[in-house]
Amino acid sequence: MAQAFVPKLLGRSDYAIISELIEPNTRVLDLGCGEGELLDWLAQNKHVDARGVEISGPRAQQAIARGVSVFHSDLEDALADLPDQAFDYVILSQTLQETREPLKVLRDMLRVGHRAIVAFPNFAHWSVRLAHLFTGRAPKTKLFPHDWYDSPNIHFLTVDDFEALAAAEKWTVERRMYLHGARKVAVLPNLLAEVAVFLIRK
Amino acid sequence: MVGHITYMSDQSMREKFGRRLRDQNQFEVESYLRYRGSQFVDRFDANSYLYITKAMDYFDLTNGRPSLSAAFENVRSRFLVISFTSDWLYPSYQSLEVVRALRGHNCDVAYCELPTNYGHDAFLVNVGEQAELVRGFLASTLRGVER
Repeated sequence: MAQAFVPKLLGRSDYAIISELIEPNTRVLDLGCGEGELLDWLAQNKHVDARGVEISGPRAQQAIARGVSVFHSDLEDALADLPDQAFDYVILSQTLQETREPLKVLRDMLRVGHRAIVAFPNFAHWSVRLAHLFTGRAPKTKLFPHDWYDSPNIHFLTVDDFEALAAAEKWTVERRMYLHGARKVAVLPNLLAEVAVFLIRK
Repeated sequence: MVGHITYMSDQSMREKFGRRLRDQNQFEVESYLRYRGSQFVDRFDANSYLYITKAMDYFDLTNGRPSLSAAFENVRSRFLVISFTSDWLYPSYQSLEVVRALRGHNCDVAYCELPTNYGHDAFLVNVGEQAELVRGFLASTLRGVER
């Protein structure tokens, strides 16, 4: 199996992949930016114009304290204000499955940005399939560690689901990258990828 | 006295005074407000308050413009907006109106709502948290200028 290690950025492989996708001197919006670590790195190293949205007050405070322009808000209330094509990239990392209206969020991302970078955990990973099959209960794995009643995840999507949506919406997928831990997955992504990262545009 | 109430939140007043009585004819909170009132009368000219209050009332960002958004049409600077949950002199929803108008022009704006029971007074009390935000904001602004 052709696999290669991905170097970590700020302790995360998906950050490393996302940072690779972003051209220097661009305008970047990160939805659910946490304490702004990725945006800060992009601002310092790729000289991007970095903006974020974060729902948690303490995290938004941390992000602003480190100098990142963050809007303390639910990301689903944060896109409507913005004008069309205000950004080169809009990032949504590990949050799509937590949004109430994922399709609306994705469409809005492609309205305010030329491109969207979407990273999400793959619900069709073999570990999830096996957990469901053998326990007969809501899957609880390394990837989805929560009990069904306290999980932030309210939509469960797979690599193939995202591909199907992109085709239906006529989005162009410019890059697709798959991760298993810190390794790149080259074959059978719907079965083997824990995390998928898509670069799409309208 | 009325002015002083607007600087506090109902929760902080309740915690501080509740329904405690000072004596048979007077609540603890009445006595406190009377004391603060007399302090203000001794220290300041009442007319200055009338003028300042009027000046604040006359201030209208949208005055002479079709909308709040129009007020920010040619804005180039960065913004940091901080609001406090229990502040009912400058409520968060009004700060958000400004923030949303700025975002509509794709202005560089940071916004955070800080949780506090101190009402409007919070800007004098929660100084540490605000200082962190302002320091980070100014430092990154400086980095942007130097680049």
